[in-house]
Formats: sequence, structure tokens, C-alpha cells
Amino acid sequence: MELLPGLPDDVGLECLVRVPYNHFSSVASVCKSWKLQIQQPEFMRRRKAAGFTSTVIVMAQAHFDPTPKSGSVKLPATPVYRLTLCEPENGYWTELPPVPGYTEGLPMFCQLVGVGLNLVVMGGWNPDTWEVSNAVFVYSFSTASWRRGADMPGCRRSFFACASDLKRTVFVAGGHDDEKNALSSALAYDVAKDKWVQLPDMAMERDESKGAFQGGKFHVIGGYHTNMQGRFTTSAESFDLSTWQWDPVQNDFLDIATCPRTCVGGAGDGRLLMCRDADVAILQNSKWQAVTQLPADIRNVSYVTAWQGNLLLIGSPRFSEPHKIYMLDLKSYKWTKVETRDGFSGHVQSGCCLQM
Amino acid sequence: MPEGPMAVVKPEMKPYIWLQTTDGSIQQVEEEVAMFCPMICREVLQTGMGSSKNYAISLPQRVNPAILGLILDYCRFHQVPGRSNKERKTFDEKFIKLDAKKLCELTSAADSLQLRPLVDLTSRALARMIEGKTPEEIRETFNLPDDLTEEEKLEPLRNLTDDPRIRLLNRLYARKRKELKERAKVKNVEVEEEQLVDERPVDELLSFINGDGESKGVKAAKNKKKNRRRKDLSGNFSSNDSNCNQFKEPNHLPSGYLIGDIDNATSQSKSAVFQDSASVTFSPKLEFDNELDPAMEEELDREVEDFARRLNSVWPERMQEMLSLGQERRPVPVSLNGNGAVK
Repeated sequence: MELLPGLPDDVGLECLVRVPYNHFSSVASVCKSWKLQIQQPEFMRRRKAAGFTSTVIVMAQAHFDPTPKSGSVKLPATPVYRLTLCEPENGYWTELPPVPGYTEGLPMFCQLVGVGLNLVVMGGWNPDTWEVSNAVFVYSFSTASWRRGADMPGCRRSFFACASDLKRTVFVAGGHDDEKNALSSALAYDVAKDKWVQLPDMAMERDESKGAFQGGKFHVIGGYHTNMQGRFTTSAESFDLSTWQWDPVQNDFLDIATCPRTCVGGAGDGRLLMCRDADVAILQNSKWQAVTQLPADIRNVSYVTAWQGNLLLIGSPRFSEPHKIYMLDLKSYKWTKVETRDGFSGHVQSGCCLQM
Repeated sequence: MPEGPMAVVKPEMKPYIWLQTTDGSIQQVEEEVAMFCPMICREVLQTGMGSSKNYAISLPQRVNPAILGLILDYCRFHQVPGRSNKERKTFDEKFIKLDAKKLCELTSAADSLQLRPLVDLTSRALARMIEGKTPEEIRETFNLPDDLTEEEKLEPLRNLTDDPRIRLLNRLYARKRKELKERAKVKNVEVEEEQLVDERPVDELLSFINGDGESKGVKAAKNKKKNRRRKDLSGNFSSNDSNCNQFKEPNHLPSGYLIGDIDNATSQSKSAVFQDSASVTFSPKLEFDNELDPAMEEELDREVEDFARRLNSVWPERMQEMLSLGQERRPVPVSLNGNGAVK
């Protein structure tokens, strides 16, 4: 059975790879041959190679009603976070269906990671009971549906570093346990197999560290030891996938002891980027160099991400003001504003970037 | 123009290429047009064929005369060097306004002639066609088999792109239309179906759905009885959690499904039938069911009116409503946070 009548399958595939990602689930529901095609790795490979993928940012974003009407529901003191989706290249915004069991708001401080066509939501605190969760939920864009993944093994982890290799695996390291003890343990999650494996421990315990995947390594940046609460280290450790070992600790990885949450990989060319003071800086040859200033109306950065050749930054002029979004072209270092919409300008707690 | 005594006026020589399709028919085509196709170009240059009727180039089997005509139109336009990008784009947009069958034939033929730009154009058009249709419509359009099991056929969460109001209204209109068609068949009367178009303002449609005699509203409501079982699953995302009934709370607007949200309590028993281990997805697709259950009529009638009312209400009020509905049904005790705000 041909994919499309009268067309050799090769050509039929040319048509299917041009269908936008938000219709993948339709394609997968047509017939067996179409479902099979869309699930092959070849499908995404071809799509990427031909440049038909879109950059999609998924975020845990606060619901921010700028003009509350009289008699409306009083927003609870803790802001409610839900999953929003943005295509920065064309200013498109939408919401994703809520995580099963969390229809009234995402777990606080949950982590989002993108792996292929999947969005992985891990951990966080129950917005009502503030109980730490080790639950994992996976949203597949190819079926447009949620499933519950295997729980994160071990103690209930908060504020851990995580990153994905964008293809199959999510890496988790550090964070703290129920007693606010910093952790040095690390894990890896295979999304397709729905399996967690233990990685060797890091040399140092790192609470509130940042994860970034770059150059075949999972970098865990900064963080602090249990008895150094809030005093961030400048060191970092990198897990080498090819040797399945942690590289020796790199002291002075960061040039100032600061919270590493704006440090991101994914920009290509082995670069790591971060926001430092009012600048964007790039790590090149073990040195951080400021490459440009932040846009004038962003003083408070809430979320940063990067993909090939671009950086995306979400922040606000001052705390609790509507957030704005800017994209930085990493060749020209020029900022472009991304249109936000009412209802999509709340604080962003975490997010991830997918190419679909 | 000065003409010297030695000027010779040459007659216009327009070279032609001769092409033959598999049905045997032969035609001659202006050289510059035919050479725009890489396959033809290669044949001419490598084998010297095409110069006369007896040595016509045999075109691949996938190129029939009608499609060849279309392809040559394309080539004739694009081979002219002076055209602007805008002109080309405008031509292309008009050119691909074809039905699915023709588009497929065209794509196939263009591919066999290695006319890459046309393959790109037609594939894109086919992709756009696929994008605009439901899986059912895609199967119909392209004559594809319906060979997936119900489990495999995951109803997509179309709310990713659509405004749920418009989507739901569309479904109501479609059902209304179908219902009227059926009644027309029975009565053998011409129904003015064509008027039931989406361009009508919301208010007008709502009054149509609500107003036009209670009988119609009730009938429409009855048809939703079967749907409601399906809709119960709509709140049910977790596959392995047997307690997921608890979580069927009304969702935030864009991902929510307005009609099915209410009356979950009554439908909880029915949903047990549909729990399976496969990942269940949000299923807004409405279906027909002409079973009449008198007990359900009133309930469903209320549902339609409720939906209509909610469509018209303002978002914050709606959210308030949803939250309060959610509060009623949730078996987990409502917690108060430190500031006393109820969640």
C-alpha cells in the first residue's frame, strides 16, 4: 500500500515530512502505513535535513491576568503555572493540556526537558500540599497525549540539574533531598524505554546546580554544598558519555560565584552561554566573554534557552511585571522581540526547547 | 534599422522537441520549455533523441498526456528568465489549486521527470491538504485503508491549534447539518443546508441551536448520549492510574472541553467500561447515536443550553465556574494556604 496514491513512497514521504508538528497525531491516526512512517527515526531526520522543523519552546508559565475584572476569581497567593508553547520564529502561542492529575496547576519548580518529539516533566512540589514529587510525565507530540513515566528513583529530589541529549536521554544530577542536604548523585532516563539508570556520583554535592548538554557531555554547573547554603561555587563537573565517567572538577568554571540558572548549552559550536550582570556572555577557550548587553527593558531574567544559532531570553523590567521575550541571533548579536499575547506574559519557571 | 546590402533575413527557426507518452500519443514542445525538465534535457543531450517525430523521447509511465500538459504549462512559465520572485510565487499558488487526485498525479509525474522545484511545490500543497483534514477526511481523500484499531487510532488533541469555541461550534453545526439532512431524507424535503455556514455570528448560531423549537435541541442532545461516554475519557489522561476518575476536573480553557465537563458524576460508572491500558487521549470528536433514552433527554438538553451559555460568558466568570465545579467533585480535601485563599 502506497503512502499516497500513485506516488512512490519516497515521494509520499516528501509530503508527510512537510506536515507541521502539531498535526503529527493526525497523521499517526490515518492508517498503519502512515503511523509507521511517522514513527521511524528516518522521518525526523529527513525533516531536519530539509529544514522543515520548527523551534518550539515549552514553558511552565504563570497565569497572569493583567486586567482582573470585578467579581472574578481572586488569584491565589501562589501563582498557578501551566504549560505554554511558543514558536518564537512566528510568534505563535498556545497552551498544552495539563499534566494528568495537575489540572489546577503544574507542580511548583518542576523541570521540563525536551527529547525528540517528547516533553518530559519531572518532579516539583505539589501546588496544594507542597509535597515533593518524583513523578515523571511525558507528553508525546506524535500522539498528542500524556503518559506517566517511571518515577525518579532514590530520594525525592528538588532543584536538581537536568538536561537532555535531545535524542533519547534525560540526565539528572544534584539537587537536594527532603532534609535540604545537597546531593551528588546522578541519574539518566531513557525516554523510549521508560527506564532510569544510576550514574556514578559527582565529586561534589551540588544543590541548585544547572545542567547543560554540550559537546557530548552533560555539564553540571555551580550549585552549593549542604554547609554552604546559598553560597554558590564556581566549579563545574562534566559527565562524559563516551567514557561514562565524570571529568575532574573544573574549578573557576564560572568567573563569579553566582546562581548558574541562566547558563545554557544547545547553541551549537560547543558554546555555553549565560547572563552575567547586564550582559550575555559566551564561554570560549575557558573564558567567559561578554558579547552583548541585555535588552534595555529586561533587568530581571526568568528563563533562558538556546538552540542552533539562537538564544531566547524571557524576563521583565521589574519583578511582577509582564514578561517580555527576546531572541538573540548568535551571529549578528542582534536582539529581536518576540510577540507575546495576553495570558502568555507571566513569569516562566522552567522550560525547554524542541525542534520538531 | 540600417540594413546593409549583404544583410540576409533569416526565417525564424523555432526548435521543437518531440515527446511520446506511454499511451502512444506524440506531441511537439518548444525546446526551451521541454529542456526545463532535467530528465528530458539529459535524454536530448546524451542520446540525441527528440529531434523528430520518429525519434520522440519516451516519457516515463507516470506522465500521462493531461498531466504532461500541466507540467509543460509550469515549465513554460518558469523557464522565462525575467520573471520576479513575486510573479513566480503568484503563479505557483494558482497552479496548485487542484484536487487531491490531480496533485498526486502531478507530484508523481514531476518526480519521474526530476523536476525538483515542482515536486517541492506539489508536496507542500499535499502537506497543506493533509494539515487541514481530520484522519477520517484524509482517508477519504486519498483512498487509504482504515486499518488501525480503535486503540491505535489516537484521537489527536486538536486544541493545540484551534480555538476550542470555534472547534466546538463547528462540530455542532456539522451535526446539525447532518441531522437536518437525515430528516430531509425522511420527509423528502429540500433543506436549506447551505445556509448553515460557519460565517454566521456566534449569537445567531446559538439561538439557532437553542431556540428553533425544543424538539431540535432535544434531538441534538440525544445524539450526544453516546458521545458522553467517550467524553468521559477526555478528562482521563493517565493510562495506568485506575483512580483517574478523580481527576476529571474541568480544564483550563484552551485545553478544556466545555460540553463534557459537566455531569461527570453521572457518567463515571459508564467510563469504567472504557478504561483500558492503552494511553487514552483527549477525545473531542462527537459521534452520532440515535438511541433514544428518555431519561437522558432532559439532561442533555440542559447540556446544550449550558454550553451555549458558557460560550457567551466572560473568561474569568467561566474560570470561577469551572473551579467551583471542580471543588464539588474533588474527593481530595480542599486546602487553604497560609493566606486563606481557597484553592
